Amino acid sequence: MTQNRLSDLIAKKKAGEISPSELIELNALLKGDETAGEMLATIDTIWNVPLENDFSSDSYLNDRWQSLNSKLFKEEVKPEEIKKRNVVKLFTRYAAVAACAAAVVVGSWAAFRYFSAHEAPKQNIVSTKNGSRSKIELPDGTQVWLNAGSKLIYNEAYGKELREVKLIGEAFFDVTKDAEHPFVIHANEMNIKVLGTAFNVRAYPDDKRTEAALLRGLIEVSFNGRPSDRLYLKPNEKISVMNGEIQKMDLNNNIIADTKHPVNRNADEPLIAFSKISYESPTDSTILETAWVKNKFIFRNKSFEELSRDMERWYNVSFDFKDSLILQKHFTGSFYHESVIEALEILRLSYPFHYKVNKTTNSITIE
Amino acid sequence: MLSAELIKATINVAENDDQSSFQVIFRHFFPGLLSFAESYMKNRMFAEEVVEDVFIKLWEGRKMLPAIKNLNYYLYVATKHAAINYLEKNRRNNKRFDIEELEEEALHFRYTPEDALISSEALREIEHAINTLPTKCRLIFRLIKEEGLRYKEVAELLGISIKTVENQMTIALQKITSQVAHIVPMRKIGGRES
Repeated sequence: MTQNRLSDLIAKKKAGEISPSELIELNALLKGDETAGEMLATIDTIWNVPLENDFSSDSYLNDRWQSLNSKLFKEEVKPEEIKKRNVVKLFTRYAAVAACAAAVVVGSWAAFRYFSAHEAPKQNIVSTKNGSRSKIELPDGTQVWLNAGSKLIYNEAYGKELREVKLIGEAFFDVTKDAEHPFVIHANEMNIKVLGTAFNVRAYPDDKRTEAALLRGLIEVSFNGRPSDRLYLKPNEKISVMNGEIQKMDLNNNIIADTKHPVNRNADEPLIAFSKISYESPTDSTILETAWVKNKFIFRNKSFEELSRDMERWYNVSFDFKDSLILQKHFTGSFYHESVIEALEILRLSYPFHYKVNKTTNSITIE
Repeated sequence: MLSAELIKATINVAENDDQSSFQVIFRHFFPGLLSFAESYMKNRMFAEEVVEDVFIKLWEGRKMLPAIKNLNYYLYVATKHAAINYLEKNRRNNKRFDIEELEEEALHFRYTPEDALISSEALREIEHAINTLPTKCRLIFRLIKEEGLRYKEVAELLGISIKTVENQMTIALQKITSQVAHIVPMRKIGGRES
């Protein structure tokens, strides 16, 4: 009984809950009682050592901080409103995000290229992993927002005659005006030439189509091996081209005679399609094609086959399908702060499916 | 009961939108809040989302941060409500918060050897003693010792009486001291009073 009372009093003392009369009582108990004193000493010891758990490790906390960070500190950006004078400010903010997200790997192939017999120009590669996005500034001040799982490559000749970059994945460009040095983007089989504009290019090699959407200015689109076929995009226009097919047909959809490969697409899927940029809703100025720059993940009437690929990049997960029926189901929606689990829960409302999550491999099995 | 470092961080967050100070707050509270949320939700992923959301809201309301008298208590209450809302929203669970049904795993603790003045063997003993406490008892012990919550706050947070908190603390100390008693002579020399 006194043992209980002693523990109670020591606990209260350590917790700062002890009353003056209880303190007197405790001191009386401690007086001349060796074991009581030892007990207090033990509790003192234990109290002084921080109690941690499995979530206290640095690496785990870094991961969680990064996840929180990507949701908190990405500035809302309206690409159509970007003004030159804001660029510096914006860049600093994005630089912080990029650094925290550890998304940017600016590498250079220079080292081993240097020793090769051919004087190949130095290459700069900026890339983002799945699940992270980032923003960079090119030497001429051109701003590039790089979506998840993407790569932008340019070499040291950038800006000398042409400002030439290669894009694998998706990026939004706000190109600094410089009529003397045209800006050229190579994206899959599409080549885009511009003087000074803002536009989005989506060119993931494993997607069906390569797309470019123009917000302002004028861009010229041509295709690998066919420099004479030139198309022009005006503001608010979008072009979408089927990957791997452009060499097989001319612009009037006639099969080019010398092709060795069969035409490999459905009749209802045009080789080249023009459309207008789509707004999320009549009241919202968010443009579908560039919503990702504002950390919104928007999709309209997309098959789950395409959507799951987007989600893999956006959330850094991988999908497995035990039920392939879902691949042909189409979904429309938009996600902002939602996690991948919340996203799946929302998708399930329109088409019921079951899924299992494997946290260690970041994979999701659709059943 | 916040440390000077944390108080400085809250002011810096509120006044300067300082991200690194926010990270200090995050790193300090996250592990405890997560184990608390997970013990209740019994699912790591959901718990991570819930606690993350608590921090998102904290950042959004950062201007008010220094006005929160008791940030640690505030965060635990916010986490509890967020967890309950989450489970209700997802209709996984209509149960009320029940302290008798916490998940044991999530409340597993450890001591890090580097910041201790005692032998790692003794640390392991303490660790073992704490981790074999009944789950409820362990959570209460941690909230009081680590987060510096008052008995009254713990009682309100967990929906129990102050008397229960007192009893659980008594049990915790009894069990721990009975298991690690023999390390005491070694410690007595430097037995710090706080």
